[in-house]
Amino acid sequence: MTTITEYMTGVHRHCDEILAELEVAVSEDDWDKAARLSADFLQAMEHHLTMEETVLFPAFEQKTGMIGGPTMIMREEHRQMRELFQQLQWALDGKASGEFLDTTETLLILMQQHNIKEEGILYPMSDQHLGTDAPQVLARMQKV
Amino acid sequence: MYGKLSLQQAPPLSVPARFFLTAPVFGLAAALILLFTGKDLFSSRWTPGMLAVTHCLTLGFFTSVMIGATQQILPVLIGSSISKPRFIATLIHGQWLPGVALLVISFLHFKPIIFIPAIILIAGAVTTYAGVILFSLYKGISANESAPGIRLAMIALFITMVMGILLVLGYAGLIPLWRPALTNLHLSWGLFGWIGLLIMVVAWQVVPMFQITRAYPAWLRRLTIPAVAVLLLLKSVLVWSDANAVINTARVLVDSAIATVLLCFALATLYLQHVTRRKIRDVHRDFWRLAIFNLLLTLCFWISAGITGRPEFALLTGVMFLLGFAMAVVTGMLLKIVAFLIWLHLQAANEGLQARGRPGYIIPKMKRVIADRKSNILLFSLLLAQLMIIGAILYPSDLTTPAAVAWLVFFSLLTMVLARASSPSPSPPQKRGRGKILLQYPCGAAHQGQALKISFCNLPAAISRVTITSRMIALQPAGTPKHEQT
Ligand SMILES: [Fe+2]
Repeated sequence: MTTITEYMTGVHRHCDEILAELEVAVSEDDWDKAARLSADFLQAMEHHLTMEETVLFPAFEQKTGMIGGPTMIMREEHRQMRELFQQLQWALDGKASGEFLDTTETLLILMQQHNIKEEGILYPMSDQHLGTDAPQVLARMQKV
Repeated sequence: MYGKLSLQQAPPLSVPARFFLTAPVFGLAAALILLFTGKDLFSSRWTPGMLAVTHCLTLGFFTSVMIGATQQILPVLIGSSISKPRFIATLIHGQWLPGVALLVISFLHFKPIIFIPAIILIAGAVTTYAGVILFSLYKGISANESAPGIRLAMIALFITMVMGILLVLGYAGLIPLWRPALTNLHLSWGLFGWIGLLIMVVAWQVVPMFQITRAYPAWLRRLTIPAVAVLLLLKSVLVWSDANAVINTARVLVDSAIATVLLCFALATLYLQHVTRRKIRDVHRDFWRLAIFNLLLTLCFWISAGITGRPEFALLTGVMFLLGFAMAVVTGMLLKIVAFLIWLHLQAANEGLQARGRPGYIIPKMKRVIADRKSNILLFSLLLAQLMIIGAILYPSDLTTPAAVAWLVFFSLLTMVLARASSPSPSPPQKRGRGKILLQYPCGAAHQGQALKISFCNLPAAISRVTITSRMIALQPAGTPKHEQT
């Protein structure tokens, strides 16, 4: 049986990989490919963030009673990521490769330090606290 | 139940920044000592200048950066923040800085009387630091796999310090001087147990993260920490035994095993970097490559020293481990961490403005905080300085002064880059790189097409306390009046 930790960690790796390819495309000035990968990346990320915000975090808050703590900081970081997504789109529209790679660099570090906290702490805690409800929460997440 | 769970992004910027900004100053001091003590320095491992230079680097530079960085990354790794971080940082830094400075001075002038305050201050700083980190690890929420490694590194630091104190007391003539056995142990615990182990543990986290590689092999991560602990203990026992055929063989075996641990780490890193999906050129990765190459070189020198028994190879081993391997890793990491932290704090300042109803800004991102060009120059300067120091050890009379100058240049550049990172260049469109025109941000209600430049410290102020002042200059887009204070 897949745990929330395993499933969501897999999603993180998938997003990382698209981002890596996207950076290559931009550095090679292949803007068609960049546009395609960019759309994939932003869509995958947005889907992932929504999954957490609409299903996982509420379930976590309800089970643990920790409202305004860890999940609030995670939401806050999601907002910072979305700001960079916006700037990424602008850089793509303007075909500004320097700006684009500056944005991906910053986004990458922001995402990674966020992921460490989720994969190391928040997801395992969710699995543990949700217990027998975990598969059902995971199923709801996958439907988002 | 879980204790206080905290997923905060970071302690206040001033916590790591004070360690990061004072570290290169010790590097500068080391280069100056090398310059003025000249070629006599390399005549023996025990010259006062040599002791002063090594401690300037190992304590003043490396340990300072590592103390700052662990306080920064630990909360992210284990989900519990250090309480009263600013107070703790002040307590550590306030003892550390004068302690290391006094130690270096007392080595240079051989004044036993200064050794005592130096020892007390350093012991205070290390005990506070290791204590706080071990306590957070104990309280930590997540069983992050790097926790045992960090714990062992802290213990190694403490043991290194205790042995150092015994050596200094012996040096000052207060107790018998157990040289060379204790010196060799002091070196092994410090270089392998503290600096080497912490770098490896940090690498397991940051290489996959920043370079989007696969994880380090699980067996390697599982075996390394017990291996380091067992090997250091064996070495500590063997060093006191009388030399005979069996003991000598055992010593060689232990050293070979230590070399194997380092070799596995080096090869794993090279392999991961080779198969990474992040194929774009990244200065950070190049620093890591240089470091790994230097680590392999270190091992070659070590083997040569074992076979030939020539003292210059032993010296080269230590020098390449510190100035080649550790210096490249630490510099690369430092540039990346500082750029990210400053972005993070500009971001927070920006959000603070927005919360007070001010318009949003586009803040400079990492490559504008520290431009790739600057990192490239540092990489090149480091490479040059490393080649020069190898030359200086082999041909001391000709190359010592040029090597000292090369290191002086490197540390000056590093100090400048770090100090200037706190006032990033503004964002408005300008030509950059391969003749590309930078993006013009769309002007909208939310984003005013402005860049936010926060002039938040100059170096002297930064050393004591880095904060963002309220003086923020908003740079207007082209065509509008020059600039206004917000
Ligand atoms: Fe998230």
